[in-house]
Amino acid sequence: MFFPILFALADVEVDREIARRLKNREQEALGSLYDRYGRLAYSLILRVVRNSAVAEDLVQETFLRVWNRVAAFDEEKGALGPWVMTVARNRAIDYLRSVDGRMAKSMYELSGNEQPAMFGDLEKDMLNSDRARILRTAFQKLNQNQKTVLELAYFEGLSQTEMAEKMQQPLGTIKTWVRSGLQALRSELGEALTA
Amino acid sequence: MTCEELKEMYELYAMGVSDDPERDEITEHLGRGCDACTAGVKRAFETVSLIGTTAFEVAPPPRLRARVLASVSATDKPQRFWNIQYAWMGLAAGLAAVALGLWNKEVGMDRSLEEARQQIAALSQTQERDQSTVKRLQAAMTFLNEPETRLVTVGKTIELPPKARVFVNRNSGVLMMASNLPKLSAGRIFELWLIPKGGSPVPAGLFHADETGTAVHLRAGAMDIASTAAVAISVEPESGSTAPTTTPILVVGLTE
Repeated sequence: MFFPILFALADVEVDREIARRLKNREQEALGSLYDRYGRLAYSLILRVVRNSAVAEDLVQETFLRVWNRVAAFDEEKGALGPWVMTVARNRAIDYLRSVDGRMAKSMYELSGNEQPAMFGDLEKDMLNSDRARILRTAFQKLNQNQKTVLELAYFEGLSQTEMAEKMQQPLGTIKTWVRSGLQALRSELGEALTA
Repeated sequence: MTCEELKEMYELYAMGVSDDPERDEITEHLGRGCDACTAGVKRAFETVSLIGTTAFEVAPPPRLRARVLASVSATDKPQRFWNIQYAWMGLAAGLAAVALGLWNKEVGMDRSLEEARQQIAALSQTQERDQSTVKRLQAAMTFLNEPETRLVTVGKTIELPPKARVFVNRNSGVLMMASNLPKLSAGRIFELWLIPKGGSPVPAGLFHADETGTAVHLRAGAMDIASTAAVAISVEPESGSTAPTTTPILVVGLTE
């Protein structure tokens, strides 16, 4: 079962209003934000960490982080949903890395990719149900190898080098699977844009 | 590298999993305002966000919403603190006025005044509890915001309750945030302990959990992190103990 909540994600004006209220430090606005994205964030984090207690902690950290950083968010340009999702994923991946020691190995700072400014000028309807449905369909069409490497990248935060090690495949093979998988997704989404 | 060579890596970059040298190259392109890479990476953020929606839907527990809201409420507590204070003061003044009005009446005035006094006393107690909670949360937030505060361990290996997060700061002490704590019988209280390496547990304060089993406790003051092996929680008599009298319900090692 996928996310019916995505039907709500397209409501840009609601997001904009929530962002404005968050910037005014209205705590009720955080409840509104949670009502819209809490289920999505929890599901995403749980998919990554596979532990409900940890997922709860990380959802809490996610919304606290959004609350603390929303001042830098431009509600006129920014896409609130993708930002919340990125923050949620980063919390989950950071947790995974801390558990298995990958943080010390790679020291890859994820927080750089969740700066609010990075979510400016995105299309406001980018997470509407059509786009999400198209991507999910495209994702299901990928062959198993393509799907596996993209899931390892997104849900486990593995680099291509780490994937090669984990899957015991040559790095070149991994890169081919990643590249072809992403090309397929881009192609489907691109066609949807121009259709 | 050229933008054309980098464009295949935008999504991995957006996911934070691209390898060098592509990662540094894209960062460099973004840093110098490269239009192609900026547009490409932003488009990649879209795609990456959509990948996240392929996760299966799972409903979070209903209590999580309250936890989320509670986690930020402390940051805006000063305003609420004064609101609460003024609200109680206003209510108390109103009750006092009612009581005074009754005082001027000859019928039933003693009983009414006594009732009003009891209500004022009850409201004052509630106000004191609110103020105490506010101060405790404010102290916790101050602690968390200090640059030297760091998370040293997580109760992540514990599948079942209770669990806790412990933050330490050599200048400011130790902050414990626990959840799923058991309900205590009357006359019992939780006590936090600092366990030195090779030494006996040192009392670090008493605290209660709320009705959901959640507690936040700050033991303020400098601490020697290097010589501390663990932090533990035990259930003790309400007056507290100088040494644990029960087996700790939770021990968090200060491993980095």
